[in-house]
Amino acid sequence: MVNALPTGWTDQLLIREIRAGGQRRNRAWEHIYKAWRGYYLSPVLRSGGTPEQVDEVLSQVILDVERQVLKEDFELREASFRTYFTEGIVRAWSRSRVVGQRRQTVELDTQTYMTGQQDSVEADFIRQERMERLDALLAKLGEKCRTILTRFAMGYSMREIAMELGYDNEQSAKNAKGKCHRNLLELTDEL
Amino acid sequence: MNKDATFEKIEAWLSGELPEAEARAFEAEIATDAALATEVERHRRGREGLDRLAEQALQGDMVRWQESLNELPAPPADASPATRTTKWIIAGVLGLLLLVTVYWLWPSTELQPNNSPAQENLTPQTQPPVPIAVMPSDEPVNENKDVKQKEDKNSAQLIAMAETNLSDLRGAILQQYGQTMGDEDEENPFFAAGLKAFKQNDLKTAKKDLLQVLKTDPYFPSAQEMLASIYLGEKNYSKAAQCYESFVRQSADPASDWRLLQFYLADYQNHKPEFLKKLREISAPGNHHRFQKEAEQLKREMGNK
Repeated sequence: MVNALPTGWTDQLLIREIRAGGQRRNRAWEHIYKAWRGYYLSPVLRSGGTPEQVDEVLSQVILDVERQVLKEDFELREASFRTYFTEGIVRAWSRSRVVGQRRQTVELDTQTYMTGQQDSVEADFIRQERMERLDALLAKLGEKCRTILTRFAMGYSMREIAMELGYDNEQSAKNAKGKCHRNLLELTDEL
Repeated sequence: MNKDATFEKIEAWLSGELPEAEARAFEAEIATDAALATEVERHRRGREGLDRLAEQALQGDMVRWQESLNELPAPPADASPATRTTKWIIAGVLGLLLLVTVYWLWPSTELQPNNSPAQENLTPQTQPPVPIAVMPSDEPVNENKDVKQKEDKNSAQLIAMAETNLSDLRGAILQQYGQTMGDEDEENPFFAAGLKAFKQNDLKTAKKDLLQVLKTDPYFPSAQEMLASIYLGEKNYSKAAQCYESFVRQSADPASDWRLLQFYLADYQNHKPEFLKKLREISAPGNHHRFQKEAEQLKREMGNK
């Protein structure tokens, strides 16, 4: 579906740029974050949520949407990309509230939590705790490794990484990345 | 295979970059080599770390973006205004050529007074939009017959597995719509009535109202999701799968993906290819799907049936 935006970005263009990875992907997400902000905040704010709560789930939604977009057979049918994205945010926000409530409940009494969707909330709760352990491990990565692995995870090509981080050539960047990747595996062994 | 080669191969496999045959061979190797399987598991955990780094970077970017909300990034060069102007010029020239052609053909059409050439030429040859799902008719007798036939065909075991995995659906929907309602939702009185009835567990009324919603808007995702839940309760697995499929096309939530797999499982006889495709998609290591482990577990359970 073509959703022409006054800024020159279209749904197809956004999808193409996200798929390209690296800086092009970042610009596309920056556009989505800024230009659609009023739209995706609206349903949450009207339900008593806050922009900060949306921002808490936004990065995860962006990565979820990105995974879908990267699939070869991904295509937008009847919904615009903006609707698709907003729907993901509303759902993630809604679920995060239950997880938050549960955390408070757990602190009071481990037996008191009961809702109609224990399974998915339980899974989210476990994921959240795992993520906190992961954050603690990642904090042990050196700054240089952290930067190179972050760029790699964001879809930057080795050429882009070499240019941005000042390596002589792609091979040097690749060697450095390999070394850092091994460090990461050693850290995540403790997960 | 040396250490570096193994490292690269595992990463390539996890990224889905190995050719199909090579990937299958590698999977067979993993299944028989415990040390390799352990190493793959290490890389999976490493992937979690990489994903988390990407997420943290995004969070940092968002803080910066927040400070410059009014400065929108320019679109790529090939979509710049200059390029678009060129496209308009080309379109103008083509339009002019079309007008000249029509001018040359006009006298011949005037010789056929019974036709309405102008109208024929101007009427756009558009097709009515194809609904995402073929919606059920309002004839309860045929519907019940259909339900019975479909139910008989499906394996009770698979249905039981699917129903167990979907046991949280109604709660999830109530949770979702207990808190939020989009603009379009509020504007549609049938949806508002359907939602109210759904919350009160008056599923007959809810179904009637939600089907009304789809008559005016066959793409209404929230209505499709609730109808899927209602049809599931009625053990009308085929229609439940149709509705949920339609909903998922407009959803980015990985949990929806996982639930669609369960709907296909409940209607395995009619949705076997879709089930297998979705199962492969969710369990593929390169996709890093949030429900990958659950999908692998389901694969194993299916293998035991």
